[in-house]
Amino acid sequence: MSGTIQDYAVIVNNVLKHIAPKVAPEVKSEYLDFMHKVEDNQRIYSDTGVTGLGMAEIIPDGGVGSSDAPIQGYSKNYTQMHFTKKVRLTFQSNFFLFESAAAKIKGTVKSKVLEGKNSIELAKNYLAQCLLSQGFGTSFTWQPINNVGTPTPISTLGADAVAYWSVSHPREDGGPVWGNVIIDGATPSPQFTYSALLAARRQQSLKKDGRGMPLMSQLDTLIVRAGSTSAQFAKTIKGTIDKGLAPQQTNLFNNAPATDTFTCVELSPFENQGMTGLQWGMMDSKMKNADYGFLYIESLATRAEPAVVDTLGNQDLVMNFNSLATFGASDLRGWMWSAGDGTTT
Amino acid sequence: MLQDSSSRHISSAISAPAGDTVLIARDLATPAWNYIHEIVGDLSAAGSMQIIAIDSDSTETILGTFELADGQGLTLQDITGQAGRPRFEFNPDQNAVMRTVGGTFTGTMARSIRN
Repeated sequence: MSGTIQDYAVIVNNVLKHIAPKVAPEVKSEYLDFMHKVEDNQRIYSDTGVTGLGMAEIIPDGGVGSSDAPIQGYSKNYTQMHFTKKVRLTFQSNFFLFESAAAKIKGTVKSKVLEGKNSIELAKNYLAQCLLSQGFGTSFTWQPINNVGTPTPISTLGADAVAYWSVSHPREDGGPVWGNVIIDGATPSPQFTYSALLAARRQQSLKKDGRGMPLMSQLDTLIVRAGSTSAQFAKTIKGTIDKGLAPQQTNLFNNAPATDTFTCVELSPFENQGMTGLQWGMMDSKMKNADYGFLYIESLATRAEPAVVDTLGNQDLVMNFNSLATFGASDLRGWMWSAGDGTTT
Repeated sequence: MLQDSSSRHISSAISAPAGDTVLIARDLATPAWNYIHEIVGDLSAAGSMQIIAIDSDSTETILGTFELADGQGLTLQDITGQAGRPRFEFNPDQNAVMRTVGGTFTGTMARSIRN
């Protein structure tokens, strides 16, 4: 849309008034809480895995040991995407709202209502969160909330060509498949409880590297939607654990010592294609790096382009904000995830 | 200390004649787990009562079977020490169903929602 003077009829009339901005508070780049940032100025970023050696063997005297060598793993390409926000105001709108000596909108409010960088950070936060919430499928169509802009197809495949959250990720050496869907007892994708926390950690402890050797990874970061029952209950459990106590359980002693604590990352409640209140997951923060986990690959940080006047056309004021970046994951061994619905695998 | 958390408990009456009675229906538009913390009541004639979770694809999971004499009372409550954990739990895709044979089960239940 472009803002014509009729769109601001109440603001620009001859009555003094308080102009109250209706915008969300400052936007934090929350995707960096669970994604590793890669600064890469190429249009396409590629990564390929490679395993180490398998376990050694014992041979009899005079015997010949078998040979071993690292195995080439899986590859993935990440192509940069163009995030943009264009603002367009007609000549009169710009003059009477911002430029006139009697301008109705002061600088402090102007900076809030025309903050295109926030728009781009919100798009990135939302897309990053959608990768988590939509990761049981192999792709989804991403649509900015409020339907400004065109739908964009997004892949949710890891380098192994399997959906991010799956019970059957292949292993580089052809060994047993591994999963990163939380299963508590016989219930896949449980809601967040203390027993589900223990189940996720037990599953994570059984993960192997590309040659079947113990990965020795521990889940220490919980991802939930801010304000959800899961998020609030997680704080209760974390507070109990931090006091050195385990939440009460019939097969534990009263006031039993706690399991390890965790940090809680709360993501904005975008809803729509973003996280439901029931979804939750955990990751090993030591595996938030260029080798494992989600990547945020940036070629151009968010840039405010110089404001220009459309002098050949209708003299609208046009402002553009741009960023070149992409999101994705190759190897989610460091993660466990739950749809929270008791059924999804 | 809590094992789980949920909304506040809501009481409602149960009147389940012979056959299937949906105690709590799934609502996939606003997905939530349904918890039943307590069931109290009796059967009007000798027979049986079952608590069953039925998925949208009609898969049945029987959570409890109780053989009751005429007028025999039954009380089912949360397990002590599992604070907040429900006696019966239904995932967002499941209906909570009471199936009775032989009589009408009349009583009350306390339920809550986890979403």
